[in-house]
Amino acid sequence: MSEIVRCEHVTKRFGDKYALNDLSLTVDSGKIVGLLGPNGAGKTTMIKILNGLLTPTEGEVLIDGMKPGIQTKSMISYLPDVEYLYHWMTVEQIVSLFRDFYKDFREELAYEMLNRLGIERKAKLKTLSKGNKEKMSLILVMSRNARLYVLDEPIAGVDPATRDYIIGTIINNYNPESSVLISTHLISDIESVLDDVIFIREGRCVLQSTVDEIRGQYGKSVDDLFREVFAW
Amino acid sequence: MVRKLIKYDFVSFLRLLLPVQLIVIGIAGVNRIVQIFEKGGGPAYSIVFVSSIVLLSVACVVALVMCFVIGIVRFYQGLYSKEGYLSHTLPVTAAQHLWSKLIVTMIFEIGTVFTIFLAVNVATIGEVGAELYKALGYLLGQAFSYLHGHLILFIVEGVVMLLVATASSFLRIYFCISIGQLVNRKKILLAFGIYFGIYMLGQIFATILIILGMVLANNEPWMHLAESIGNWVVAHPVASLHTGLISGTLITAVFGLVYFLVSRAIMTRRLNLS
Amino acid sequence: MGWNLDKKRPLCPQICEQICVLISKGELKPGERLMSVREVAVSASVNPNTVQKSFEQLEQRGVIYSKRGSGWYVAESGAIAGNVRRELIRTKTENYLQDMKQLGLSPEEIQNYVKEFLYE
Repeated sequence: MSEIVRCEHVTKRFGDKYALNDLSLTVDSGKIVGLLGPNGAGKTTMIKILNGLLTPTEGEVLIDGMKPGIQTKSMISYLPDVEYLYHWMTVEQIVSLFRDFYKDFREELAYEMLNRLGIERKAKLKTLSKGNKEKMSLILVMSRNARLYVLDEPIAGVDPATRDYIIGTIINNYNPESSVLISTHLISDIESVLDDVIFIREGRCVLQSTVDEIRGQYGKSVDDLFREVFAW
Repeated sequence: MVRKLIKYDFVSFLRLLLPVQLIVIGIAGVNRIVQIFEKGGGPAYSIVFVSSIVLLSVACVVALVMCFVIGIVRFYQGLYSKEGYLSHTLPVTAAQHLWSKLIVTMIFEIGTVFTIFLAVNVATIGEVGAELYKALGYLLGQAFSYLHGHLILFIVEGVVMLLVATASSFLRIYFCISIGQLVNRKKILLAFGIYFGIYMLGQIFATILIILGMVLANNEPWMHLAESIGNWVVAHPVASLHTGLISGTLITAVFGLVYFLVSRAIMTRRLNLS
Repeated sequence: MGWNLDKKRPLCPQICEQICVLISKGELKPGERLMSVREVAVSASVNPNTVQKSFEQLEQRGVIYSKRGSGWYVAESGAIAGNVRRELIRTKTENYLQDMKQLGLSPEEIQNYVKEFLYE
């Protein structure tokens, strides 16, 4: 099985605080992987390092064998956990920006999904509702035909209907040969779409396993196991 | 890729700066209309006229300041605020980001100067304008008769120096902001600190240089050298002015280059987006 | 299609079972085209890889077959699907009886309860 992501002994310190502490993990090609852990476990830090927005204090991160850089950025489609789109743009402008910079961007697909939501091309991003802004970001990210999708807390703080929409959009649009890394602390909502899980706590990887192993060996749902592991 | 970046950066600047430029031209127009009532206007006219002149001057200064501020703010917002999550995950190099921001900033700096020039023209349409151009023409003519071709060279050198100095000062600010983002808190405070640190260093260095120069110039064996330089400047004022302009431009450019390279290195290797 | 998946058990066998049930109940007819892997994945909110694996297992057992480039179809013979369904009925009934016996009910009492609930 080939790997799309390999992190080896990654440590990230902010001052004297460890956000990541000797974390090693891998993401296999063609898998949907859950990066699971409570708030403050280091999920976002890990994801920002994958995307080159932070540099590790120690250790190495390789994406398809390369350090984060221009080439890895054109392979990864990233959904941050903040409103990151240029808010002063119109829908049309931001779509054209994605089309201009990402060769793998499928413009028609994006507009098809936006039309279904009733989001107008000429609308300014800052006038969209919070829910539509989140959906818009997800649509842009999933409209890329990327090798790796990295989604940081895509379902945090959304209502059940939006959650179903988000999960459906991910399943419908990702390319089965590529991988998806989803970070969340809301496991029961998302565990049925996962192949593999990585549990992290206080910046360390405490478990990396396939979901079938958890269900087959422990006879538990991922959520149950998560609650057990993080009970202390 | 730089072209595409410039396209989007340009729109982001234009959105903020176009209104300012239009207002400046508008005020100039108002000023010109006020002048129509000069004859038989009395003291009321003077008050209105003077205040519209003051307003125009203030508007010009505001336009320049706005352009400067927006140049800094767009750099910070686009690369080191939440927008940075998108900017830095585009498949674009740090150098391309820097070039795009710098080029667009320079375009708008030049644009603002042009707007002010246009505003002055609008405010002086008619006799006053004709007088102004006549005076300018006379001055240039005089200068040309002394300097000949050198006048054109001086103008070109002066403009290049201004452009390089402006670009370099923006690069210095980019450098300060980039250093500032290395820490996890109070990033902007550090940026300001670095800026004033550089300023202070420059002052101290200049002072030392002057004192050193004065001391050396009065002592052997440097006295001879200082004297011959002085003689050369007096004997060849045109050549020495050329030398001054060009070497000043080069030194400024070298500083700009250093700021550029360090900023690029930070953005590529030490990004710390919070 | 309503999916009812227990997250405590591996999902793949559950998907297989539920498709067998649909076939043997006649909701999916022999030769009928199945939903695509992605459609099943979206409607059940599960990973497409899991659905793919389920379909492949069903194919191995002869419950469904695939046509190149056009998707998956229900096999002409529903025998295996019927067996799977009968097996499910058997284990579920056994589990029920086991539970009732633990509650101290005699076979007659169990029968009476079932009748009562069915015809109420």
